[in-house]
Amino acid sequence: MINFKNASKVHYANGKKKIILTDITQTIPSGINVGIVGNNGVGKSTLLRLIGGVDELDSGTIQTNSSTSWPMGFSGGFQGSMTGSQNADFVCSLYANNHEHRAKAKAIVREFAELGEYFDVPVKKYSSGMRARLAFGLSLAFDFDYLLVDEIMSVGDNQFREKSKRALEQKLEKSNVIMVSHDNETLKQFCTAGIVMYGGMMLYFDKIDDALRNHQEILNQYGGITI
Amino acid sequence: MLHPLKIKSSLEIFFSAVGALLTRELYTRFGTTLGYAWALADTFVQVGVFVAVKELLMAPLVLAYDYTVFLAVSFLAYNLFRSVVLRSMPAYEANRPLFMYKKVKPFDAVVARFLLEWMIMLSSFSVLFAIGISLGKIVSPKDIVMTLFAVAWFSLFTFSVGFLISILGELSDSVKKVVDFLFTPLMFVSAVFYPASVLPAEAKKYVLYNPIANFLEFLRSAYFATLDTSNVDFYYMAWWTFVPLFVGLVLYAKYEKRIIAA
Repeated sequence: MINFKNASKVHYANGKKKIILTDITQTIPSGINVGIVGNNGVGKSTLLRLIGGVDELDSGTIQTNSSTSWPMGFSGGFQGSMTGSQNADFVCSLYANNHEHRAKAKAIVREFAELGEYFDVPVKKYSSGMRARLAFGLSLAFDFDYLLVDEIMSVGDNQFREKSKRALEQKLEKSNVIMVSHDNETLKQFCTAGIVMYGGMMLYFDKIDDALRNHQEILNQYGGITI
Repeated sequence: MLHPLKIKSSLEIFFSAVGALLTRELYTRFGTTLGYAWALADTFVQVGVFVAVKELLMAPLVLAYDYTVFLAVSFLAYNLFRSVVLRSMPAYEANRPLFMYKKVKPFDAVVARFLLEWMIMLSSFSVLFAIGISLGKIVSPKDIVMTLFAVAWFSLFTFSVGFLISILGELSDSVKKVVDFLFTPLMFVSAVFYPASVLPAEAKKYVLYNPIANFLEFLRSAYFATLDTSNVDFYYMAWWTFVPLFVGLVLYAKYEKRIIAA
């Protein structure tokens, strides 16, 4: 369960003020997979960072007794001059309970990511598909109550995408996911509930279909980009 | 599928984060094998140059202490200060993507860099010590306990200053530029390759406003039987240790989230 209480957040980027959340009070019930939709730049990634405890509200609280993963996406999470393998080592030594657990987690990442010799190449030389493979591999290595997934489901070739989906399905038998995606099919497949973000609002829908419909209406009415 | 994640105490988290960051620094600090060699050779070369200058220009000058050892002690300490400060400044920038893991705090990155520079200093010391022994040069410290105390205090001082400057540099880019620029002349006014006692009274007064000069004098007084602490102001050194640390912690508490999210 994740409780938002009077949560407000303003983000400053390039000297511009962007309202992410305005006085939001909302409960996300336990055991539910949630998809987040909203226009580009509306603050979906920031919301994931807030839930993951990486970013802080300006006022109000977000309370949870569940463990959350780091926000898994293309940007952040990897140190560019380290190789994929070294980045995996870094995360594994942070989250593993002991040496055995660490070796096991590392093996899962290596096996799943299928990066071949690129596993030992600095991450800054990776394509976004390769970054997603590594990020996704890491997401499988540990058990969190909530996985926070930022767009990494919809990249790579078909074969890898299918494999990721199967792996995520298996993962969701024990965990839940909060997912940002522009791909409605992915959201429908994994999420039962949905959140629509718009202009500082965070609208929660019990059914992902309702959330997607609401988002589509906003798109039709106001267009795709929020400034 | 795997073990459930253990809940770790905040101290455990701190140690695991610093450990992970230290490994990360080891991966990228030196680059090639030559990088390792250079990290160790740095002090060696400086000592060599100044010994050569002294021998060539002031050969008849007889000093009350072994000048080579004097230089080795001074440069090891000065280089620790320089590298801790200069490597702390970009510590946040270089580790920003890793702050995505909430267990990793910017403070941990500064601590990891400090520890790495300290380990490099220790390695350089070992190499120089070994060379010194094989040349029959080593004078052991006059007071081992006092020497260790001086090293510990000086290390804390380098950390405090490095930590404060890392935050100031994060808040303003011009701080970084000014600090980079200041390091060029700093060595000459820090009593690195001469003891403060050889300076004329007027110059000495100004050089001793430099806390590094005070620390080096203290360190060498503990090491060499023929040097003393008459030019050392311990209160002044304490100020320079605790004020930057305190101001740094206050600023850090205020700006931590900004450093993470920048």
